[in-house]
Amino acid sequence: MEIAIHLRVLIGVLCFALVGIIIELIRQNRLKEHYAIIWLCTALSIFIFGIWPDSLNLISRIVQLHHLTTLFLVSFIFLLAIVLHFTLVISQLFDRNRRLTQEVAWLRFEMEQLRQPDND
Amino acid sequence: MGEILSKKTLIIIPAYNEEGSVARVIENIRRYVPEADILVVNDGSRDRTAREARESGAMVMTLPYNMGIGSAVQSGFLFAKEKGYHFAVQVDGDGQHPPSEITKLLSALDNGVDLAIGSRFVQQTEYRPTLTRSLGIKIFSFLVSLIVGKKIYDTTSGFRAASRKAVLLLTETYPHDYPEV
Repeated sequence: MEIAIHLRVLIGVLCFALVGIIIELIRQNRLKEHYAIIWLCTALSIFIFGIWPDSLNLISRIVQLHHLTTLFLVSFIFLLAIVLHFTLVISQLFDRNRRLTQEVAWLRFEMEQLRQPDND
Repeated sequence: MGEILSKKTLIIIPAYNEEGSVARVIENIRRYVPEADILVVNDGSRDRTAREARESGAMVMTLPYNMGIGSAVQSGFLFAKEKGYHFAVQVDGDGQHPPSEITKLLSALDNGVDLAIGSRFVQQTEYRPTLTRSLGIKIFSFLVSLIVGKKIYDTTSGFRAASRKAVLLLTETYPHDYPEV
């Protein structure tokens, strides 16, 4: 598959911009390193498709689809995986938040009891 | 030998904006099960629920925001676990559950059962659920009965008693969104 040279340059620039943004976000403490890995991998895979478009052709041949359809398919699966990952993270956060809130309520109850020992 | 009396029982009342009914519920429970401790889990109410409950002599644990019935009840179980209660009974704060039946649930626990549910359907009652609700109750009753291999008549009832074993399990895992299934 032929990709025009200026398109490849654009993809390359995009990847480097993405990597730059991620590094800056980590530096500013706004992005956890754990999630940075996902985004760095994303940049890397875009970069690979950019400099080696035949990898896409290879996948297209395996799944027997037009390369554009393959591109959409790959992106779609990738996005689905990311969304699933985020849902898992949110669920875990939710559970921890719930437990924390319950512990706080419990501690507050105990504290009030200690403060007024005559209050049954 | 008064086994029930020698065991510590906690009545958990999850209450969200139940002023005007929570005090009556507490009084009724005390009339039928005077030996039990009563804990009102105030689920972030914005009215006088906590105050009325405290004035009625119940213990009140206030959640900082409205967490939902599931989390509120679980907070109660957590309380029961920490304080070493043998039995925990969940009774709704709006007065829909007859406190006179609590001793029946407790005696079931005393016979070695880990979870006793106050069903609306085993005996004839005036309760008539709407068609969709009735359908939901039947589906869940069927599914749960299928899974546990025992007939459960009313899985969606919020009137239930748990042994210490069940309490320990429920503090670890308890559904937030659809706790009554």
